[in-house]
Amino acid sequence: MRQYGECLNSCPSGYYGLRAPDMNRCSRCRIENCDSCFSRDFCTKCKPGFYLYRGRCFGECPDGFAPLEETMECVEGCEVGPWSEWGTCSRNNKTCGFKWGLETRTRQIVKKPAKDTIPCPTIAESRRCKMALRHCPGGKRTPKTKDKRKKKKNLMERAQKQHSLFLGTDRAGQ
Amino acid sequence: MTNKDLSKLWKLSNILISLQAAKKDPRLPGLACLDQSLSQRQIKEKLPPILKEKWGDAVASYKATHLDQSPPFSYIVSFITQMVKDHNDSQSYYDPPRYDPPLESVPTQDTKAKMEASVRSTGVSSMTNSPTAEVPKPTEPFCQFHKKTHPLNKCREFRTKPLEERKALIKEYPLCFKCCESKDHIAKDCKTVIKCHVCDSNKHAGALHPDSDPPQQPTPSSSTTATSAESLNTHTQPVGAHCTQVYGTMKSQRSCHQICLAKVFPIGHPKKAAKIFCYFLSFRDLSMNNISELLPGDFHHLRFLEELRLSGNQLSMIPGEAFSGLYNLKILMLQNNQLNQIPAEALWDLPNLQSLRLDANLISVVPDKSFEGLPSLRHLWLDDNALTEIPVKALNNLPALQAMTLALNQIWHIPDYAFQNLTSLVVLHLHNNQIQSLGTQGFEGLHSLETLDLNYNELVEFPVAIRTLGQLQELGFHNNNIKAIPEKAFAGNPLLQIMTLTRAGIHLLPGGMCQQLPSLRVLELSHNQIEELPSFHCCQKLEEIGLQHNRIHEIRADTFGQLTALRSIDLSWNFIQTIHPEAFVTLPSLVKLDLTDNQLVTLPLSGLNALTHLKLKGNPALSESFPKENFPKMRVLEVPYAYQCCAYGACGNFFKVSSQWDSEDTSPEDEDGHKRSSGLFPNHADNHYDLDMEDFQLEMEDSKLHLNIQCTPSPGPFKPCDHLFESWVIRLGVWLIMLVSILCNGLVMVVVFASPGYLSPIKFVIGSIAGTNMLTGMYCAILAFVDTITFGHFARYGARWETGAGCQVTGFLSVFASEASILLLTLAAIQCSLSVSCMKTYGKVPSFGSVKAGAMCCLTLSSVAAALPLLSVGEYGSSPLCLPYPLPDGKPSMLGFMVALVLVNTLCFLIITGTYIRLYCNLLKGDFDSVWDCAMIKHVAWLIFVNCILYCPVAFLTFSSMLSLFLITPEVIKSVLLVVLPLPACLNPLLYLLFNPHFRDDLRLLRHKSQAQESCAQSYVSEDTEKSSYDSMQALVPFSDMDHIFEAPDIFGVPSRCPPGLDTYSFPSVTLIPCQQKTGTRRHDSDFSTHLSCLADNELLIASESRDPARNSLRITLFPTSPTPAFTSHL
Repeated sequence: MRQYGECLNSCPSGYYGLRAPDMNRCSRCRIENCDSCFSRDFCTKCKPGFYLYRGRCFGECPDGFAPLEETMECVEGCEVGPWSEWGTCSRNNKTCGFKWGLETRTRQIVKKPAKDTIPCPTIAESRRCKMALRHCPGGKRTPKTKDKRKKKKNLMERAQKQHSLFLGTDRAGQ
Repeated sequence: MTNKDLSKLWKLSNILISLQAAKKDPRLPGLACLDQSLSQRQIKEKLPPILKEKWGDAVASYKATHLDQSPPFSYIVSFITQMVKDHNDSQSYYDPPRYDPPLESVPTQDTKAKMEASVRSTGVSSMTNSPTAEVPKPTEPFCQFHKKTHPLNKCREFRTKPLEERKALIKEYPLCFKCCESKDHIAKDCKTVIKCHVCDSNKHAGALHPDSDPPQQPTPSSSTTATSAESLNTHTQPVGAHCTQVYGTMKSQRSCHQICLAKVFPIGHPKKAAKIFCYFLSFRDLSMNNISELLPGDFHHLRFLEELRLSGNQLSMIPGEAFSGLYNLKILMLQNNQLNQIPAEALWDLPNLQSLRLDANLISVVPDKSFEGLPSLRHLWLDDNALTEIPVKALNNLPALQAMTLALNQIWHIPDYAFQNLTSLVVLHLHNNQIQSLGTQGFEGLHSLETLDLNYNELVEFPVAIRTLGQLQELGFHNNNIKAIPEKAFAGNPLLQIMTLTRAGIHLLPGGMCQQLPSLRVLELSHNQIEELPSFHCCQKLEEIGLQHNRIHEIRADTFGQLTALRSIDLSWNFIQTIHPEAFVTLPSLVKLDLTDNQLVTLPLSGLNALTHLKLKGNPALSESFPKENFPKMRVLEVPYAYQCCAYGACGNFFKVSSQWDSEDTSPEDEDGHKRSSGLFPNHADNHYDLDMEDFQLEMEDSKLHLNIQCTPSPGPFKPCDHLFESWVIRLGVWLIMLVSILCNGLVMVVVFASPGYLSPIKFVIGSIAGTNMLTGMYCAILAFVDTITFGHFARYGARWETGAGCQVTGFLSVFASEASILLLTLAAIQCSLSVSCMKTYGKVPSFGSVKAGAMCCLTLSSVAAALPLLSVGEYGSSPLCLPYPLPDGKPSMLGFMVALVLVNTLCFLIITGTYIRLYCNLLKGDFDSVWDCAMIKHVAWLIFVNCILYCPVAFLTFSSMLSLFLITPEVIKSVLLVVLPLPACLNPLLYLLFNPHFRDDLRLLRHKSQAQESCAQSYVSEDTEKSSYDSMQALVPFSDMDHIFEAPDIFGVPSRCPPGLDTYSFPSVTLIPCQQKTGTRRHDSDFSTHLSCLADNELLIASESRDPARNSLRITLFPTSPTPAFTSHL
């Protein structure tokens, strides 16, 4: 009877030990980009540059998962819920009296990321909107002195402000 | 770096030590810049604020003592190491001795010595920058160039330099130009007798050998062997570093840690260097060390250790706190030890441990709290232990577990909720246990399980618990005797992709199986007893299906209907007789089809156009041809008959060539795995986890896009494509043998049997031999006929010819003829011998009847032998020659049959030779009264000789092919079988015709007889002939082997319808061959008449009336009518 190979104390890189009643042998990992593995299709350590997730190696983490550079793993990323409906168009907390206002929508963080360093996607966004009521009922008409461009810029700045304010309250709320 | 960042500081010190070590190497002159204050400032920048201050103080004190010189690199190194020492609690935190395992079994070494060793063994293999003239001052009496203990004259490194540079260096040292060894004198004063060890010249020293092409031997440092550490670190390094001889007394399978400086980076990349460095520090291998005991706190100080290998030791227990303090440990390997228990308490506080290997131990109990301190554990090996049940409570503490194996234990039962808390588990191996029962909630909680391996267990029914595994993708269920798959067995596994249900004793597949398994890709159902297949129509994603070794009878049209992804079907080793013509039509992706060993008669070719692999071997009834045009993509084809390969060109050697490439191209592990899985462990080959070989072959085939089609069995001399006889020499030879043997044997038979002359028993046997030889001639005739009618396109008819009745008849004829001829020859020899001994003892010879009976016996025996292959002992149809002779790749049963035949024949020849030697001895003793038919005895001897000689190559061939002693090409075998084997059949009659006097007598008699018949009709009696017959009466001498006394002509067996007067013509036919002179003299005494004692059944006596006393020998007159005696014989 002929014998092939040599006996190793532990399997070389890229191989895993396959134990059987009659013989133990090293078998090749069949997973792409895997450095060492648990079994034929479960990786325990990926090649450099690849992220490990549930026994497989990914160049980019699958959807919903975020790469963690320290351990080169894909961990559960921030999971956000669906966007809400757009809110009411308002400006300076007023829903009337202006031609343009801002409307905002939000979404919730369903699952927090596994590590704090993993960023979450934006959870609130605003856009310019046309107010339904140009003139407040019984309100005083605002003087229309400033030119339109300046007004628009102003509006954008305010939108930013409002947005950040909202984010701040949201963070604080969590 | 902050003040608290001790670990970084510690790393920095390690780097610096390594750099210092590397700096001593003269081949890295770039490191000399470390001595400059600029680089030291860079190092200083890295230091924490406290140390910056201290370093300032240290520089000041150094400058005070060293005349304002800036301190060398070693100074800053020692400073930092000292600081590290001060700031770390552990005394020996960075010292080399800590790499010595702190165990009794390891000899301790002097720290300083080790440091030296480490420096010496650090070698840089690729010399990217050659040393410049900046060489340290010679302080040692040896090779100043290397500062090593070899003389400069022997320094190979030195000699690789150009002569000018060497001269310049020597001048700079300054050394004596003549001996190159001493700097005390100059060349003029040198008294040393020098001799160049390269060219033996005494004009120059070895160091100045003007060799422009220096020997290409590796430099001493780069030739040092690399250990495992090298293989670990080479992937990131443009400059390979070697790590050797770290511990002189220990084996090389040792981690090198910092002694092995992985890379001497150019300054400016300290971060990268540190990274590599870190890696080494994080790894410790203490495997295969015979460590039998661990002491608490052994690894206490290794708080940065990430991997610890303690496999292959003799550990029988792990004491408490053995691994305490290993906060960063990620991998702990304890396999192949003698552990019989895991500590009952939560001893291991290893918060970062991810992989724990405890396989191949003797663990029988895992206490409940064993894994409490391992919250991050992901991979757990507990296979090959002695567990009898699943450690349910211990496993509850491992919520992060992703992969676990409990294989090769003695677990017999899986209780309900056994893995309740393992929600992250992806892989679970439970194979090779004794699991008989499985609770219905046994797999509850395994929400993420994708792979479940239950191979080799003792389950008797398909477990219901599998239904709870909603994410299951792969299920292994090999070798469980479940007999049947219940309906709705896979109702809860919609994602199942790979299923192995082999060797499970399944008779029937549930009809709705595929509805439950819409994602199934691979289905292995081999080695079951499935007789009927359901439609796999609903398994739309099915890619591979394995149904080999079942009992399937037929493939219906809807069996594999519309499986657009199906690539491979294995239906080998079934009983398939019919395949519906439309069965494969709707399979556009099918590339591999295996139908080996079935009972197919035809194969529908529609839908098989895309095939690359088709295996049809072992379907003997499938002899149709497969045109090449039908398989445009074919790469591997196995057909039942080699003739079907003829269309695909002669590419028989392709596979051999490619397998040679394999061994060259691939790593040895691959090759090994391939061979082992294929050859030694067939059981594993059908396990789905071991498809290495097949994948490997596929890869191999894919990688080598050959236009050649690999078709087996390949045609060869025994499976010719064009002509049965491939060369004209053989063809002519066969024709010649055929003609000669048929004609001559016919003639002999006619002469022997039809001649009116006396039919002696020996003659009868000779005639029978001629008959069998004629059968051999007929065999040749049949082959020649087949060759002629299939001339040029034998492949078309080959398969039909081989399997047809014609070949059986031909083979029977051939074997019967050759065996009968040999047995009859034996009979002849025995008869000759017996008649002599009979006469000696009893005074009479064996009767003709017994000879006839013997001949019948021989014929029966040989027909039995020839009939054996018809009863499937041996085989006639294995070659178009219809001979059961073992081909180079013949079956063992055929070989056995042939060896038996050859042995019988050899025995016959031995008997013949023995009896004949005895006969001749007896004859030479000459104590017989009788006169023997020497011509016949001689003839038999000739026959024996010829047959023996010609049988030798056949016997040799058989045995050599049995023992595979010599490499005989099939062409040679074929020509031997075709020409040498039937050759005796044409030589035997020739011998008789040309050299045997009986033939002429008989022939003449026959001619006379026919003439006599004519004359009988004409009532003509010739006076002359009558006279001459009376003359010939004088020449009458006793007839040899029948020994009749010739009393009355009418007793002689002449047809009675002829007139009695014609009987006289019979007399001369009695041939007389005196055997011994003595008999002649004796006969002289006995008044010219000798009564031959042996009485044949005819009871005829031939009277001897003529002799030649003067010559004292008998004169034989064969043709009395001829003017001179034709034949004179002396013995």
